Amino acid sequence: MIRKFLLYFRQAFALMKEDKQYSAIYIAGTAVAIASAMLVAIILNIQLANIYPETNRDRTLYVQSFFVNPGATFARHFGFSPEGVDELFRKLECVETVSVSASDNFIYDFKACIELGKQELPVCVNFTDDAFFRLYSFRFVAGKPFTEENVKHGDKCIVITDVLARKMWGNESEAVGKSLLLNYLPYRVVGVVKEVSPLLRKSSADVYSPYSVKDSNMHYIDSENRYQGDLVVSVLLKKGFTRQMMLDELEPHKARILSELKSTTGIDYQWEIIARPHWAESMIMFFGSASDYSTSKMLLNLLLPVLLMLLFLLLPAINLSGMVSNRMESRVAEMGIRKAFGAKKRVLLGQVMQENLVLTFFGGIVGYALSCGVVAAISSNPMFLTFFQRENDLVDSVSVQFDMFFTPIMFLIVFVCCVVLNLMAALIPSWTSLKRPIVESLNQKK
Amino acid sequence: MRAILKNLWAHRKQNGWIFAEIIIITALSWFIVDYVVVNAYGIYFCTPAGDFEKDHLCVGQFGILRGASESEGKMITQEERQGLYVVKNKLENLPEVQSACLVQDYIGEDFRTYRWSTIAPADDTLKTIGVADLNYYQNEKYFETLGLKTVEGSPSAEVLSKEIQQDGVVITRSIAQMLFGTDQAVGKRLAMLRATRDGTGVQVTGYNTVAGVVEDVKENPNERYPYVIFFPSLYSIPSYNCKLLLRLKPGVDAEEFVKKAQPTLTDEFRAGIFVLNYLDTYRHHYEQQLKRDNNTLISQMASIPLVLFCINVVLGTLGTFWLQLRKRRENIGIMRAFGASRRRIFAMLLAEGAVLTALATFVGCFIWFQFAASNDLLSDGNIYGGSGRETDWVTQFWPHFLIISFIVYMLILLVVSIAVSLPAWNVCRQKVVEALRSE
Repeated sequence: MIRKFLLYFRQAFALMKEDKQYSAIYIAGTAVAIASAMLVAIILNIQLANIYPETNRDRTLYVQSFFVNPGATFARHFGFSPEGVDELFRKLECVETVSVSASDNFIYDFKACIELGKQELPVCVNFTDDAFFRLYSFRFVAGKPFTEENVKHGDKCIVITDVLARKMWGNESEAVGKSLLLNYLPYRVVGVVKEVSPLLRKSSADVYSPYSVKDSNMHYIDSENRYQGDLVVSVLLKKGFTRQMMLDELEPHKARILSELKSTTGIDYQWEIIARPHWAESMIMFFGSASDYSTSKMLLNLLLPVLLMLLFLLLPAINLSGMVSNRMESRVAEMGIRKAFGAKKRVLLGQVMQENLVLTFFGGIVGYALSCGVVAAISSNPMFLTFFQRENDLVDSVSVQFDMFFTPIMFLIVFVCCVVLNLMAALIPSWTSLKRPIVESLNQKK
Repeated sequence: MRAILKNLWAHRKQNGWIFAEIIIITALSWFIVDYVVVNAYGIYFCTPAGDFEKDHLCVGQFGILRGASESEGKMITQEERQGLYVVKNKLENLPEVQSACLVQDYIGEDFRTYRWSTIAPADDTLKTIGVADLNYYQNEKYFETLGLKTVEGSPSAEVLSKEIQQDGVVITRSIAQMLFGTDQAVGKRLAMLRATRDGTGVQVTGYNTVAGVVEDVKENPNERYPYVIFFPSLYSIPSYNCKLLLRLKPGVDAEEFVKKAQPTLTDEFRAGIFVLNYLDTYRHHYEQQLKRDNNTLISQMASIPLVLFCINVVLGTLGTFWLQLRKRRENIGIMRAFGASRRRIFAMLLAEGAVLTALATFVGCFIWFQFAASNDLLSDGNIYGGSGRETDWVTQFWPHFLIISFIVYMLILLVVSIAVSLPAWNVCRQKVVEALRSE
C-alpha cells in the first residue's frame, strides 16, 4: 500500500516536472482557494480558540443583567453593582473565578504621558478588578497585579503592557513604581504584562486599572436599585460545570434579592440575567434566539462561515475542474492503453485523484502561508478589526500571536480543505474522461 | 464572429467550466459591485455645489486636567467651563487665525455618530424628507468659521451664528427646494416628525421656523443628497466635551500651523482645568474619519471576495486557455501560414474571451435580475435619508440595473482579457514552422 502510494507520489512529481506551466497554474489556483478558505478559518480561530491570555474561553461566561421596572419602558443599565456581584456570584459553587469590568465598552478616550507637556499617546484602558488577572492567564514581565485592597480603596494603581512601558520609559522593568498620567491624572504602575493582541477584545488593553477609581465616566450604581450598575461580569466556571448549572444555582439568590427589593422599594422588578458563552459573545448571531446558547446553536452559527469557506473552495474548484478536464483530454490515450491491459476504472480514478492531491497539498501549503501573511499584513486595518468589534476603538497598532495561526486544529482544517477541494475539482472531469470506451481512447493516440 | 463562436463551441467541454464560473461570479459579485459603485458615486460624484473651503480649517478637542482641580469625580462647574473661552480667545488672537468657535457638532466630525431627523412642511406633513441634523452653539461664529455661505435672500452667516428666534433652524438649499420648491424659505414653518410606535405612520413632535438657508453641504460623504439641518443648541454655555473649529487666514498653511502649534498645546493653550489636547487640519481629520466610516469599511470588506473572485477568474481562464491553445497551436500555425497576422490572431483569441464573458455575464445578470426584481433590491441604496422623490439613476430600477450590469461586464471582461492575453501572446509569438511541425 505504502509502496503503491510512493509510486503515485513519484509519478505525480514526474508529471509536475513534465508540465511545469500546468503545475504552476494548478498550484496557484489551489493556493488562492485554500488561502481564501483559511482566511475565514483563521478569523474563526482567533474568535473562538483558547489563545493567550484567554486560555479558558471554553469555560468563560459573560453575564449581563436587565432589571425591568414594570412601570418603566426600558432598563437603564445592563450590569451589576459591586454589591450585586457579591450577593449573586461570589458564593456560587460552580464558579472558579468572578471578574468585573466597568462596562463592556471599557475603552474611553484616554491619553497617557509621563509628565505634562511630554509626548501623549492614546491608550485603551480596561477598568476591572484583581480577579481579572486570575480569569485570564497574563504573563507578568515585571511587578504584579493590583490587589483586592487596591480595588476596595479605589487606589490609582495600574498594570500596563510591556509595549506601553517601552514606549514610555524604554524598558519594562523601569516602569514599575513609576507614575503615569492618564488624562493628566497620576496613576502608579504596579505591574507590566506581556502585550495582548487587540484582536482579543475581552482581555486586551494598554492599561488595566481598578474599576473603583474615582471618575464620573465610570462605574455607576443605580440610586433606586442597589444591585443594578454598570459592571459586566465575567465568570470562569469550574471544570465539569455548565452554563445551565450556573443559572440554576443563581435562581434562589435571584428570588431572594427580588423579594428584598420588593419589600424595600415596593417595586415588583423583573430580572433577566443573560450569560453568554464566549462563542456567542464573539460571533454574530445568525440563527437562534438570543438566549439559546446550546452547542447545536453554536454549530448552526458556524454554518454561515463554513458555507463561505465552501464557496471559496467551490469557485476555484470549477477552475481546477476545467484544467483537469483539459489535462485528461491529453491523457486519454494513456488511460486507454492502461485500460486495455486490464487496469480498472476505479484504480485509474484513484491514481488521478492522488496525483492531483499531491498538487493540491503543495497549493494548500502555499495557501496556508499566504493566508497567515495576509492576516498579519491587514491586522491593523479598521476593516479587518470589524470582525473583532474593534473598529471604533483606539487601536494604534495590532500585534498578532503565533497561536492565532498555528494550532493542530488549523492544520486539520487545511488538510480537510485540500481533500474537499481535490474531490470537487478532479472527481467529475476524471470520471467523465475515464468513462470513454477503450477503442475511442486508443484512437486519440497518434 | 462565426469563427469565434465555432471555436468556442468546438472546445465547449473545457470552456463550459469557465462559462459556469463566470455565471456564478457575475451573480455573486453584482451585489458587491452595486454597493461599492453606489458608495463611490456618493463620495466622488455627488459633491454639493456650495461645499465649504477646507484648506484653511483646523479642528481641536479639549482635555480635562482633573488632577489640577477639585473636580475629580464630580460634575464640572459653569465657572470651570469658562476656561474653554479663555483657550478659544487665546487661539483667536494668534496672527494666523481668522476666527475660532466652540462647537457641539460639525460636518465631518465623526461619521459613526450620525443623527438624522424626519421633517416636512408644516402644512403638508406627508411630504417628508430624511435629513442629517447638527447642533451648534449660538454667538460662536459657527457658520462663518465653518465657511458655510448663505443663499440670496437669507440672513448672512454672521447673523445666523448669533441668536436667532427661539424655534429657528437653518437648512440647506436642497431641503428648501425639495420641501418648498424655492430657495426663499426663510420664515416658512417645518414640522418635526417621528415614526409612530406601531411603525405604520409618522406623528408631529414639534414645529420650527426656517431662520436661514445655506448652500448645500453633505454631513456624510456617502450621501447623495445634501440635506442638512442646523439646530441652535439648547445650552447657552458649551459643554465640557465641546470641540473647537479654527479658520486660518488666507495664505496660511494649515499643516504648518498645526505642526508648529502641536508641541506647545498643553503648555500654551491651557486654562483652569481645560487644555487643548488635540489639534489637526480639517482635511486630515476628515480622511481619518473616512477611513473608519462604516460604509468605507463595508465597501472594503465587500471588495475582498470581489478581488478573490477576480483572481479565480484570472487563474481559471489562464489555465483553460493555456491548455486549450497548446492543442490549437497547429490550427494557429495554419492560419499564420495562410497570411493571418499575429495581431489578427491575438485579437481573435481576445474576442473569444470577450464573447464567452458576454454570454456568461448576460446569464449571470439575468439570474441576479430575477433575484433583485423579486426582492426589490434596487429601489434605493441610500439609508441615510432623502425623500423617496429623488430621481438620480440609483433610485430608478432600469438605469440602476443596466449601469451596474455594464460595470460588472467591463470588470469581468478586463479580468478575462488579462488572463487570455498571456497564453494568446505566447501562442502568437511562435514561428509558423514550429507550429506546423506537429501537424
